[in-house]
Amino acid sequence: MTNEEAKLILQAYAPNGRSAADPNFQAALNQARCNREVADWFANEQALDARISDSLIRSLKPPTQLKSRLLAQRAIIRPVVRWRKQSYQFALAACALLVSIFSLVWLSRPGPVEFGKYREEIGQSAAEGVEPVGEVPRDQFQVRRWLTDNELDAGSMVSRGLNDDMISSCRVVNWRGNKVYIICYALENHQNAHLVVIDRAALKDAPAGSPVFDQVGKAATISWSRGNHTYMIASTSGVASDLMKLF
Amino acid sequence: MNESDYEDAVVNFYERLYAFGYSLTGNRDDASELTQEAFYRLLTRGAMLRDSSKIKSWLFTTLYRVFLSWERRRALLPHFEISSVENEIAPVTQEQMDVLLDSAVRDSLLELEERYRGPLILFYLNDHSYEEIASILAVPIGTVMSRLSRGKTLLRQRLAGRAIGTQANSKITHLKSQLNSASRAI
Repeated sequence: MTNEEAKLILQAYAPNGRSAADPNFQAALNQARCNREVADWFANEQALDARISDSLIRSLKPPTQLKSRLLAQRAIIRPVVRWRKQSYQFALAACALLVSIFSLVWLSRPGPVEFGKYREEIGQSAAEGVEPVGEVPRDQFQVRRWLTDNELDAGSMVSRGLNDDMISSCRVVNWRGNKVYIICYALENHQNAHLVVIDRAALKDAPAGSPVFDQVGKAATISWSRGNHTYMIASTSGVASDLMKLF
Repeated sequence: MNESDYEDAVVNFYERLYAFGYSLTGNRDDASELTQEAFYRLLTRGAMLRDSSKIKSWLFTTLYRVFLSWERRRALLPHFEISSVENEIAPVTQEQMDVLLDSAVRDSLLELEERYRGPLILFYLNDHSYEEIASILAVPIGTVMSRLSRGKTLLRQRLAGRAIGTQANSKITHLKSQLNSASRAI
């Protein structure tokens, strides 16, 4: 290290001895200890720096009211405490989560299904029997109460061939997120017919008031809509034209 | 950052912050405003500071950034700065320092360009290592070293110039008083 290099480094040496422990100055300090010229220069530099530092600190005293103004600022603006900031972040995260869940539920909400698909799946299943949701009424009294509870007036749903006295069982099944009410009627000759009721809005292209006949596999179906419901009678015991006798 | 931390920060650092602000802006009002802005930001954004030992550096860095943003705004308006001609006066001696008032030292510092004022005042406040100065001013350590060296030379030349002026004025005053005495004697 040359004398000039040592001087350049030692110019940054704090006049109050603060830099004494800084390892970056050690080599330059050693140079000052071994070299008289550098030592004299350094002593003079330190003395001048100390005087300039004292002068500047004295001449740059803040106004007397500044400290009280700064302390008063604390009373006006409450410090943001870490936990408060975190709870704010938690609240934001919770909101985001709720929005996500709501969106997910909204998007996964069952949309209308094509009537043809409904008839194909439910017509066959109703005739063959599907797993019910909830309690199945066991007697006429329970059947009537079930119909009332579910706001289903079987008597008004079909005009002839089927009446409440013929109901053998009732059940509710879940089909693609929609409730489907299935009411089973015991016909003559040990045959069965199933009246299937679904919310009209759950179906695309639901049939209008006029009945639509169709054969779905082994099941014959007849479907129509009235009010907010779409009805279907399905039976495996005959062809569609036989159902007309019941309708 | 709780209220007690804030109060400690005010008590410990406001004077040095103000001095730093004054050296940058050259006037009391702006220095006070810069200091207040730095502490305001400590109150409102201090929660981001995980390590309370970093408050001092954070305050100085914040104050300097606020100052730079002010400067950028001012730069939008055209202004002309008359750069002082560097003279060849020898740096100040300790004897010359004896005749200088504190205000003369301050004014000499304020005459320097901002790139020298910043490192010099942080150095003379005795609170920062040159590495911390580099961090506050966002410049490399080598730049701090060279600016300190150049800044010190320029400051001492100005101090010497003022000292010579002060000494000359005092000699003139002395001569005038001698002349007055002689006139009265005649």
